[in-house]
Amino acid sequence: MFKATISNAKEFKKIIDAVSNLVDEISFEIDDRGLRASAMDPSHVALVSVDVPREAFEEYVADPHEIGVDLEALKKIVKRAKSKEKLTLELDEERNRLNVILKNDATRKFSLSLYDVNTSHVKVPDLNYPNEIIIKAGAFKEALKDAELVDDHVTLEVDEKGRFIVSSKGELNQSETIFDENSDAVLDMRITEPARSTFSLSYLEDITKAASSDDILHIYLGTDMPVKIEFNIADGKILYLLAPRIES
Amino acid sequence: MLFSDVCKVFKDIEDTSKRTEKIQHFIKLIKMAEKENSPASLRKICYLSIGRVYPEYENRELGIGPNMLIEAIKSIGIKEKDLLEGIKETGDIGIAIEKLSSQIKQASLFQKPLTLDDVYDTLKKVGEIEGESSQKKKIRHISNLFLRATPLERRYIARIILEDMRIGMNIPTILSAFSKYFGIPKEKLERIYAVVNDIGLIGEKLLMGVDIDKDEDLKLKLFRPIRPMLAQIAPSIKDAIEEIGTPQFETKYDGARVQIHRSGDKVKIYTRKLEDITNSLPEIVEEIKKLDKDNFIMEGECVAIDLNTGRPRPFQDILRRIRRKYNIDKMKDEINLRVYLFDTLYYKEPLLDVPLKERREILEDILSEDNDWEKKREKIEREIKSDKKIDISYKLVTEDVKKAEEFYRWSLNIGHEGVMIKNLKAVYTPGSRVRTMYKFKPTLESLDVVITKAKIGMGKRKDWYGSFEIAVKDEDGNLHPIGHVGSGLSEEELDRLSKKIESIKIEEIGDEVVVKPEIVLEVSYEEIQESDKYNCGYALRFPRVVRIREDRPPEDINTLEDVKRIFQIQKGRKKVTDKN
Repeated sequence: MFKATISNAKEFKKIIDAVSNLVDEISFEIDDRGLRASAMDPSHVALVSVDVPREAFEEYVADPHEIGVDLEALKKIVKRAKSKEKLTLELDEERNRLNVILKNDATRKFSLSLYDVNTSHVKVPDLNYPNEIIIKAGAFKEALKDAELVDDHVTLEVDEKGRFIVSSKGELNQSETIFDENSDAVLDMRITEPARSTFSLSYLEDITKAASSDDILHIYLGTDMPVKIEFNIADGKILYLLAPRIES
Repeated sequence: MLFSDVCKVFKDIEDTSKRTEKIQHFIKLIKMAEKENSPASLRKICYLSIGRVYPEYENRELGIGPNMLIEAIKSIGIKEKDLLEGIKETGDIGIAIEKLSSQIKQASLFQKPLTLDDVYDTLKKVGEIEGESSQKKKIRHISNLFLRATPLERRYIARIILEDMRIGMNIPTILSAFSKYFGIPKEKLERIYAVVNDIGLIGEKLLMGVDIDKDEDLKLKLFRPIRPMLAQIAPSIKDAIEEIGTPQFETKYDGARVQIHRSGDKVKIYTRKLEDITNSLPEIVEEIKKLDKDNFIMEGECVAIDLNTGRPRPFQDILRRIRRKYNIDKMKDEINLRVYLFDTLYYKEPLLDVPLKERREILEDILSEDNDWEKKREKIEREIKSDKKIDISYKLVTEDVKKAEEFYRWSLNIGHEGVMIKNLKAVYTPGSRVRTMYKFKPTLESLDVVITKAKIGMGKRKDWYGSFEIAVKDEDGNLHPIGHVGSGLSEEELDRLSKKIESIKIEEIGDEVVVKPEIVLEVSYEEIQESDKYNCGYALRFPRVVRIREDRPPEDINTLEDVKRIFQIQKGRKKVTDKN
């Protein structure tokens, strides 16, 4: 059995948006600790992993289950949720469906058919990073927008002065945003060595899309390594890995 | 099965121009699938080797244009400028991406070599992605293939995506390979192919070891359309009677050939290109549903009839109805259609091996009408202006040349094109031009040809392609240029043609472009000349476009044999005039 109620449906919507920007279908692992899922995007360039502990829910009862969900369909349903509405997820094991119940003035019930989970689980590789930047999502997104004016990829860099630099260099034009410890947007930086990697902007946009300006991003950066970006949604945590472009 | 192993053989096939060697190499692929005990792999190999993902009868394209492919290639780090230069230089995006492989910058999180299934299943999936941000999703699936592929694999993936494989494999060659490896006469495989139109299915069944004579999937079945039987040109009515004995003459209608399948309330109408046009012809579907007979495939010619005069309207009017997706109801009132049915291919069971005489009897039984011109001429003439949506073709069975010629003139007088002359003993042979069915028309036969090259026009036409190299085909499907045509097209048609050409061009040489042979033109000409200007030895004198044949597939264009035959007929006619 599985039944979980979250007091603000909008927060659940945000979680679903954060995942569905990269992948179409996902299989959720459910147990008494909460609900988790990881998946790679179709090109295997990016990975998303989401972890929503039971504490994020107002009510939570679950036996271990694995359910395969069509994210497009789920996204459409949660899009219909209004803020402050209560959202309940309920597994109908007999009919292999997930019921989504929205409760406010009225009770609205959707039923989503599940598909068989056959893909092997994606494991999030455990990488050691020399640097961690803790920054407001809004400021980072602005820097990405500047870079987009110039090219379709962007370089993230930590220099020897301990600054975090978001830059882009096209054939004619360049853009650069510099953050240091004193920048308002930066909450903290844990720097051990200079590092630099380049990434496709289109994926970075998908990754940061669901984050609001005030959300706090943890960016883990190395040289020619996948970048790891984490932030919290409700009491849950979402994590992305994005493979670099190797500019030789 | 690793896709790289398959690609190595594709390259062997590409590297030889000898057909027998291509067959030998293809047999290697059959053995690879056999070794893995995987008939399904052979099925996929068959499709991919002819640059397809879907079976041929499905008439469905992958729908990833060159622009999206270029976007996908760009997204992995290859510079657009270099890519476009590479395409211009080699005329082939496959070779271009293969050569530029070292430019790829994007890394992936997990690197796993591609299997045949990965490639086939991904492409199939890409073809089915719809809706919100579908373009982005398609591009990411494609980049995944490119990121995991070897340079050689990239060559073939790019070509498959554009459905232009360029290794010189085609259906006849694959059938030859099957024939050789499985020890089955090629003619037999050709007959089965004509019914199923699915080379992958045949490969899979052969490797499964089924009894190909008995297997239900290899027989004609409802809602899997087949290619129609095609007629040859008769030099004269007298010649045809001499050859056939007592043929059945039928009025030859100038319309679009259709195949109608029905089982209960399910009715589907297909063109000769096997496209499903059911939704464009609701009034015909309604009439078919009213018949009290069921479970059949009938064939007929769909014509537009002017109800004031009872005469057929121009061919273009039919095209305005067929394949229409919007405003169908409005057009339905504007352009009145009638389908003249002339054959039954299936009635509760396949009838292809049943002689025409019986097939016609079954048709007459289904429609409760025979339209025998000798007995019912008055009734037929009365009904020409009626609002009939379906009817049976007008027929005359005779060995009398005079009577047949009278029927021929009558058919012309009511506005139709000529007569069909059919052997009543003949079975139905789908997809081939046969000597058991002839057509006879007053003028020298126009030819259906395919455009192979196009040249930018001059003067007023400089914004369009104005001159087109046209070709006929030989038995193996090779194309032979036979002339250049520029006249006969309206500005609107030139515009449409130019847009189409832009979308299928393969290579640019100066102001000329080489295109995929997809656009069929019907051309008339003053005569066929012997000429050394073209390799085939013939040239059309003063060719003129009669119309763009969007209803015809390039496989059905006229053959070099037809050209030779018309050349002979023309010689004969000349002699007659010389004598006079």
